[in-house]
Amino acid sequence: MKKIIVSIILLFVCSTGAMAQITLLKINDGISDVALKQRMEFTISNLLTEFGQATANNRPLQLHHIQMTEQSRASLERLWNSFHFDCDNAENEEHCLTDVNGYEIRNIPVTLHPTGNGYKGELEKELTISLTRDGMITGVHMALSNNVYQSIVNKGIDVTDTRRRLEILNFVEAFRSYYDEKDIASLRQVYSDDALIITGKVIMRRSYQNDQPTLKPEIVYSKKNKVQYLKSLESNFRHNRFIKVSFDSISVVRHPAKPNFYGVTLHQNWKSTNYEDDGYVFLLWEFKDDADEHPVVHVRTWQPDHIGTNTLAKKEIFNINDFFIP
Amino acid sequence: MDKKQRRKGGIIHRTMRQSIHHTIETGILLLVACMTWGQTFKASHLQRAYEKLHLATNTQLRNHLSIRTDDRGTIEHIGIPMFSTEMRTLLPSPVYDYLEYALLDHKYHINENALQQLKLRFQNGDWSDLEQVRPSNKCTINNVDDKWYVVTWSRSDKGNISVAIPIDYELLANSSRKEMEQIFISNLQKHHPGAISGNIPPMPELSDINTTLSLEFQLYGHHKKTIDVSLAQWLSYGLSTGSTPLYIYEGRNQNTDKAVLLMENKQEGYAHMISVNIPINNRRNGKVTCNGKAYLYIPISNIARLYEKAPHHQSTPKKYKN
Repeated sequence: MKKIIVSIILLFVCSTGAMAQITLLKINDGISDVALKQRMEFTISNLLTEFGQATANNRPLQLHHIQMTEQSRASLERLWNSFHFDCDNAENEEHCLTDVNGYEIRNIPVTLHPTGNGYKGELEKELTISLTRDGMITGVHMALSNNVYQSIVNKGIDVTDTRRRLEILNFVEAFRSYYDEKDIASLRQVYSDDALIITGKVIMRRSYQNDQPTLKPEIVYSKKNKVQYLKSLESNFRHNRFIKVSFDSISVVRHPAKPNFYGVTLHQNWKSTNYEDDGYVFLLWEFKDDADEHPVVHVRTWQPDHIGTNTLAKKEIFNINDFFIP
Repeated sequence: MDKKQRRKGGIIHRTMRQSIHHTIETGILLLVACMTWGQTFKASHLQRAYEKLHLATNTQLRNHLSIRTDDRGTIEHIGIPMFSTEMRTLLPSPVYDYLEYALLDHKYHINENALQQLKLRFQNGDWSDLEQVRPSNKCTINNVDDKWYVVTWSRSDKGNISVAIPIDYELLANSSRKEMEQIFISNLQKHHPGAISGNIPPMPELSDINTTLSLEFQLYGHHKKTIDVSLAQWLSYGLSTGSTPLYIYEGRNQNTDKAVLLMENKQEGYAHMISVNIPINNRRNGKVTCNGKAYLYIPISNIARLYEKAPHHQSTPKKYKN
């Protein structure tokens, strides 16, 4: 099918004499009508290719050959007056979502090229394309940011993996709420018996520059096992009447070789009656083969998000490769 | 009794204690509902305000507040009025109930735990300025990247008041995840689906709206609760809370199709997910029961990358204390 689309688009591109890259979209699942699926792939691939050509030549969009409603065409042309954009990838694979009016293809990554100087927002965006049940485009929308729903339903990955990642978000959220509720019993169930807890702390180390003593901040780490960690947490719970933990910027990574293991990195804000801090948390989760068993956390790390006045570099943050999984 | 038996007994005892504890909590929460002279409440924070401010008898204060009940007389909102009825009707938003209650809470110190409200960020003005806001003041609400609502009141004489509120379902509901799960299940069970409007995606494998869903809810504290609801009930209740249903076909496994149904509520920053197994046989005789799992309140506004690629290297070496 891809070859067919390539040849059809090549014909079109050659006939217009444009030199820009061809962009393809393949729908990997979510629709069973093969003919409709091919029609949608063809229409969207044509549209994405036109984005690239128009951006490369800094010209208005030419949409007469694209199967789309007048309203969506006018809306897209208005958007184009403010932004040009082209696809990041020459080949895109996305799920097809069924919605109230027809279908939606989400998560198509694009880079914005603002036509004026007024735009100060993110340049990396994702497109959502809506289609009728006959495969005609009814809307092309710029997703508001990378962290809303469109992140959720896929990036060319299968639905089962998507579902699992949503389950992880659910477990991570429940895990967060156990701290709010000061629920040691539930936390005891989440952490595996062999859990490793690593906590970073900023200290000032004396060093010499040009024979002058200076103090340089650095992080040193301490390790605890499950029993030690929960004991200190219990004490923390006792000394703070209220605790409010918030998670943000959550990222989920599946272990490349151990498919039941997922790494979750997030930014945590901890507020309590006597104390507040911000830092990065890494959690190593294991899904059990028995679907009725809840997943467990084998590793929890915490690092401050700043060392002195500098933000913690991404390469400093613990990741899934830091831990040996037998 | 040997050591092993004692240990086993201890586990049973602890499990029973947890179970009893949970049952009591559930009972309480299901009736968040708890009665105050016959008055019922949608959530516990409303009951707290009602009791602390003696609203059953303090008619003077009552008259200055915005109090809304549903058609059964259950109080579903108490707050200091800040938004016009027209605005509430024309531009529905979770911000109205949240801010009106938050201001009431701040002014009368209803909730001892003020940590949650620290998430609110004033861009112009402060709480004392908010107390000056009247429903007649011109107000705008902007959604910033589906992460924040920025509410701004224009005042010709004293400058604008502007406050940013994170799109966080617990904050916007003035409640906790634990309580919200219980309220959701209670309301879902009580919900009678009316005629469902056309806002439902095509679901080829689940075309019969009367299909029974036997859902095992994954709840706070690793509790599980199985409830039978009709597909119509699930969809209708989700729609009534302002959520949008989405359907994703997952694939076929021997004699069942697997599908995922999401109820996405962007305004409040969460999604509910059910993952169901749909038997292929007997699908057309209308007596199909689909087993599945339900996950409530999956956050969707604080995700950076759900599909982060695994890094190639370890993080930089660390120094450990001995």
